[in-house]
Amino acid sequence: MNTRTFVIAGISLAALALAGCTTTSPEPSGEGELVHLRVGVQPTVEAAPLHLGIQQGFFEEHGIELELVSNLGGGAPITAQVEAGEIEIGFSNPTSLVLARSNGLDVQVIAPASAAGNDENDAQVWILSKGGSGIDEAADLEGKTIAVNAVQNILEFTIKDSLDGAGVDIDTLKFVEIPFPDMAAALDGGQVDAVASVEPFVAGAIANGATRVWNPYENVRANLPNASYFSSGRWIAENADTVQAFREALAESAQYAIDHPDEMRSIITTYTEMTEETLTAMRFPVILVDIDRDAYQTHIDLVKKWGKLNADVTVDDLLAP
Amino acid sequence: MRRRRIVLAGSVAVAALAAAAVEAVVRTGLVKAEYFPAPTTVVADLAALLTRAETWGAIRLTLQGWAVGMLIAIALGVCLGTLIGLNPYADRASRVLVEFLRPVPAVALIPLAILVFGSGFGSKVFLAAFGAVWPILIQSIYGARDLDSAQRDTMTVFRLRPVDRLLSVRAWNAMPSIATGVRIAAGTALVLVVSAELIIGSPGMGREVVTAQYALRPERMYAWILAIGLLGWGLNSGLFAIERRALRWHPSYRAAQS
Repeated sequence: MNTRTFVIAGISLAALALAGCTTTSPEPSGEGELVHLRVGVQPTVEAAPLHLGIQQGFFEEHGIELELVSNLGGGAPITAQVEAGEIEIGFSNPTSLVLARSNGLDVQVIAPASAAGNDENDAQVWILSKGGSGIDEAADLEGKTIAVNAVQNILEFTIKDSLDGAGVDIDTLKFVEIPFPDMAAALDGGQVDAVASVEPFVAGAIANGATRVWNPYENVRANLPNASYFSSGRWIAENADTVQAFREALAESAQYAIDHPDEMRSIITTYTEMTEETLTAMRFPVILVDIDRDAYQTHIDLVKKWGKLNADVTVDDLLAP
Repeated sequence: MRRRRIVLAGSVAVAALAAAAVEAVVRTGLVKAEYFPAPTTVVADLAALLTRAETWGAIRLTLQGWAVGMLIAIALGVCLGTLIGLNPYADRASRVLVEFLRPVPAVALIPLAILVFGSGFGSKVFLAAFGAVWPILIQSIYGARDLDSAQRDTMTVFRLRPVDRLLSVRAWNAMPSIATGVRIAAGTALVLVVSAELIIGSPGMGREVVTAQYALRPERMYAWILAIGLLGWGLNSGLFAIERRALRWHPSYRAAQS
């Protein structure tokens, strides 16, 4: 159990304990006053539409003063922050939210953020092998050790599902946890046979001689959202108008990002340390505007099939009204 | 003075040799520069970093968390330590709690810190103070207790009131011990502030390490790590200099100086 898993486990427990006793909710907005909303995001490309939306004033037009709170911990710590009322809206992969719900946390998806591409020309998520290792296609992965950022989560489930569909005996696969930034070195050092990585680390690994073996989202579902905005069900129920305003402003921001790729690129350099070189080499996510209910059903099905649900979760529970 | 210069020259030489060895390892391709950039690359990137205003902002935020955490730890550690050191009842009453809490790794409290103090300044300060309080507390306990028989007898002969015993004898006597505790705690507090920034994402130098890592910039990541190391070294040297100056009257420091 590494530090991260430990921290995540601890936070989930503590969040559960505190879930019942927090009462924070933002002050109701008066006439013409902006509602202050805090959204937890990571310094990644996926956050670009929010930055653009603030810059373009979309959120203000909808009566929202948006504050972006930097968050490095990923899914579970953000869930804890939302539960604790420290931020109103979090950013997480939908599988983590399904798992959180099945563990009794009252989280609901407000809007989709992005998908990781679909075919070999635009897919962002790849199983990579070391160049010249002889692992070149799905069948070569049989019996191999694959690194994922978190076991029993979206990557492990989609890898199993897609490789199972491709006729690979998935019972022979071994999954180990390695954080995305450390995967390329682990692959190069021979600690694992393959890694399931995301951008910009895929681009970095390819530049250092890694080979693309398999796109785990292939055959699972087109435009499967791998990131979504969420909040606690309680906050959503108490702030229906704000949720609606956030959704509208977010949709405008997402559409603007899609229509203005150059502006999206330049805003990324303001909140990340990415170089022009990296931005050119890497693949960008598919920004999602509309919510696709069936895609969230797919997330639930994946957990049911390849993981474990402690309590049943339906798509109606998962998606905010 | 001359001796000190020789020691300084020696340690700079060792550091330079170590850096040269790492440089050679990277340049010869033994370790890939994509994962571990050569020291010269890292130093050059640090120099570039230091020209940006944001860099100094991050350093300031880390230092603020460190300073506030240290002040809380010193206040708590010295007060409670003196009480425990002087009062056998307080000593017995607190022993189990202290020995139970002291080995708890402060990073294990990060989930708690996030929930209670959020992901900002409060968590950093809490973790730093929690980690830093123990060495100060323990050193204060021993500082308050340690008194040689001559001092004890003198206090008795002069019939000093308890408050004078504390303020005119014991407090001065305990200072070197407390100072050592503070210096040990300073390193711990910095590690914890940076850990909080790394793991939670509170603004500061630790978060910059991760931001660089996410952006596929290993040279920048190591530049920040180098900056954190230099800051730790600077804080330790600074505290040591203050300690030596402020306590120059104490026999143990007088002996070291001559």
